[in-house]
Amino acid sequence: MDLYTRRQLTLLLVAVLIAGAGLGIDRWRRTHPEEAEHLEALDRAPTPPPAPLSRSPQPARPLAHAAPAPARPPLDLNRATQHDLEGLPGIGAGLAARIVASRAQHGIFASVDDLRRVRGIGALTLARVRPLLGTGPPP
Amino acid sequence: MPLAPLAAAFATGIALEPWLSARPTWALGIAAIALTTLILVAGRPAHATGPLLAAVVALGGVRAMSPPIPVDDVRRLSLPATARLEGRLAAPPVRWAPERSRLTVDVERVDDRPRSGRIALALYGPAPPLAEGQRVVVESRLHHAVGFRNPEGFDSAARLAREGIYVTATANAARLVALEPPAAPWPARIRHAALDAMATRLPPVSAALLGGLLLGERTDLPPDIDAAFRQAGVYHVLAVSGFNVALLAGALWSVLRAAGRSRRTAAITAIVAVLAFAAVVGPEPSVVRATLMAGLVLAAVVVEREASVVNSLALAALAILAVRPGDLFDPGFQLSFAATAGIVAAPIPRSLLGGALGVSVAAQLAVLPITLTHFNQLSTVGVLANLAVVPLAAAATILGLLGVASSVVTEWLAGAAFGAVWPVLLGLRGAVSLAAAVPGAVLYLPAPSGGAIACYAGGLGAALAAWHGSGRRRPLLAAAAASLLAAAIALWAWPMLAPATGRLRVTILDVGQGDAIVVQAPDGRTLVVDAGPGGPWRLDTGERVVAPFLLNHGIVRLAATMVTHADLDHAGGMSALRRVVPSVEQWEAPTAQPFGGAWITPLVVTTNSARTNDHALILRVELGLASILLASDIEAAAEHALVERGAPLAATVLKVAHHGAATSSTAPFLGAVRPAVAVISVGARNAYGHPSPGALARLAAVGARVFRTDRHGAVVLDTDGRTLSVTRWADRRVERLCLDPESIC
Repeated sequence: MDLYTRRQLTLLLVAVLIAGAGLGIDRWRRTHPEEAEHLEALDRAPTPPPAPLSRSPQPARPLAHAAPAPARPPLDLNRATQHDLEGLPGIGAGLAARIVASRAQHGIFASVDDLRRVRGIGALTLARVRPLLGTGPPP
Repeated sequence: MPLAPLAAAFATGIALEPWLSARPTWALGIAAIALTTLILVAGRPAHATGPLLAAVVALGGVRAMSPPIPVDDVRRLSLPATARLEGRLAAPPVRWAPERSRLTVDVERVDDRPRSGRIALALYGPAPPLAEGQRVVVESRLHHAVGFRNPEGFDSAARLAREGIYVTATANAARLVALEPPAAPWPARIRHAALDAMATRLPPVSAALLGGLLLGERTDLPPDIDAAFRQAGVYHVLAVSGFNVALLAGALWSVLRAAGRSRRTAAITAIVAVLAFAAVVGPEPSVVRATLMAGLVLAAVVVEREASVVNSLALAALAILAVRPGDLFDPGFQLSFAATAGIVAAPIPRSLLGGALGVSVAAQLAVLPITLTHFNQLSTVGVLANLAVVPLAAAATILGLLGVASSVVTEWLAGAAFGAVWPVLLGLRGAVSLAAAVPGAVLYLPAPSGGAIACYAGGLGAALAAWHGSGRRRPLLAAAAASLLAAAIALWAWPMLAPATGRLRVTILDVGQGDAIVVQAPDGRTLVVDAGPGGPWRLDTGERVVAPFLLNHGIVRLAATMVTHADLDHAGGMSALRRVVPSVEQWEAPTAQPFGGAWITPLVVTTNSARTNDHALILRVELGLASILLASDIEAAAEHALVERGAPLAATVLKVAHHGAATSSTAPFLGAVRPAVAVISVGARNAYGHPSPGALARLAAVGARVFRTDRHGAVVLDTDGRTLSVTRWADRRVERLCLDPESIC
């Protein structure tokens, strides 16, 4: 068969390869949520002990995200800024923005469990952030 | 670069998915990719196409495999259950009957615990105004989605699963509370405004018809007009389809070109208009296909390249299937792509009339196996009716779009446009009812088997090749086409021509709460006793369950039909059934008579009971040692009268009276029947609590093996007079009984 030229075949092969790899990774992530979550947190500072961020001249984020000290008062989900939320484990800029958007669009969170209405927050993320969060009246 | 082979390979993978398991498919895909790479590196590109297509097939299979069920999915709840459901409407609510709506809900929480998944919610009672995207909370009853399970029957559960719905719910509309005001997204608002504009400026029926033509909105269309469009074989104009998209793009293009705009301006304007139109009418596969194709063809104009229609069709198929692989089995997807492919592939004459006729014939030939498979329909007037209906529908669509668009700007222009569209709509209705009135406008026939469809497709392909081919290969191809088409017809017609089996087969169909029983005599004659629930504003099981069962078993004509009594759950489906599958005789008070090798005896009940159930007709069907008593809905009074009279009640099989109600199946009656097998025709989750525990206990006491249509699907009784086999269709389990105690079988 000389349906395609060499160049087209290479292009198609790359496309199939990317699609296959994408599907495979997506499937693996769904079947192994714990490992996926683990990988997701790789570049984050380890939870215990707190990372020595003070030595860097300009800490990019507030200390809160690095050390979930149990003594700290819980972060009020209905008052937290995008910046505060990015400090939580397992929550990056995208998720934080979505939480804020959801609050603006659909009103306050009745409870911490209500976070599930935000797309991208699964049972595992919720379990990790639950001890760090609380809900109060709207700001 | 030809994309059609890739689209075909991907679709093949999706179609093969039920027979694939995950690991071998991944292995096949990886091996195929490795092989392709090797061949390419070795510098033999001519041999690389095969492995590459194999990799695409594997990719399709993997894409179609359902993802693992998340831990918080609603499917994991223990069902059935009553629960407080909170979620967001994923689609605009569908009002399919007065006081009946269907909602698609993306679940957020169930009983205040976070859950995920999509649910189809049936709402009873007057629904509040609701819109897509709105958050609602509702007290509802949740169940696993289960359709009617019949041989060759329509399975609604499979259709829901293709949309990612595995759980259904029912609720009273009064139990639904909206958590937000209905803030419809702008496409839905435009849709509403357009329908309002039509409704205020046109008489109701014409407005409803225009709503169907422009937006595919058929809720307000009177059922007789809807039926006439089906009957005339022109229903496609009422569904939003590629037709509307092509018209819109074509009209804008011609007007702008005539106004002296450049090709580029015209193409860009048309692309924008088509995208906006697609957003308003929603993501049906046919709309997505037409929008993608129109977009690609117009984009080619913008960048001044030649567009390949076949490639844009293939690309549209790839895009739709990559996003929603389940659409491959959707009739709308199949009809849309088959019709377009047929029109693209067929040699169409150049002249105006010849061209129109050619397009109509090509589309009809291409969709023939699809309409037969899904709807058992063959339109005889469709080709001609389309010649009149399509131009009228096109004119109405363009004028209607103009009217709707101008209604926001100036009143007089809108008035003029709607004034002009009204006679066109009347003419359209006239043409359609004329075509629908032709006797035999639609023939109801069996669905073709996979082999027949393959032969048909191969035959059409060979015919096309013969048409385009030249020289010595032409007669060869023509002969191949003729023999393949003949084989297709033979394979398709075989169930209608096959000799009778010489066995008596009685099928108690799963029609929910109701009765529908098909008696196939040893010589092939068929009697239908009751046709299940039916009538307007509900699923007509006579049309949707009994008729497809008969047609797909090659039964296009019935020897007799009989309604045991007038209750809707027995008689409701009969008129639709008789319309689709004509019956030679209609029994009202039959006498004892031989019936195609079996013997049928009606048992007459004389009782002064005031209940209609007690005056139901009861039949006894016999062949050799096997006897089947069809007890309809009789209750204690009639049972008592039959036992007192000493009627011949003893039977091998009893179709239990009145769906297993407590007021039927009295102990003396069961003692007289002494059935070895009892079949209860009953709906899952019925509101009456049938079958009652008391009746079940009394059946167990006489030693009857109980089969139930709500759990076992259709129950098929098959006998040669000496042995009896009982098949539960839901799990295909077969049990055999020996009726002659003297012999071994």
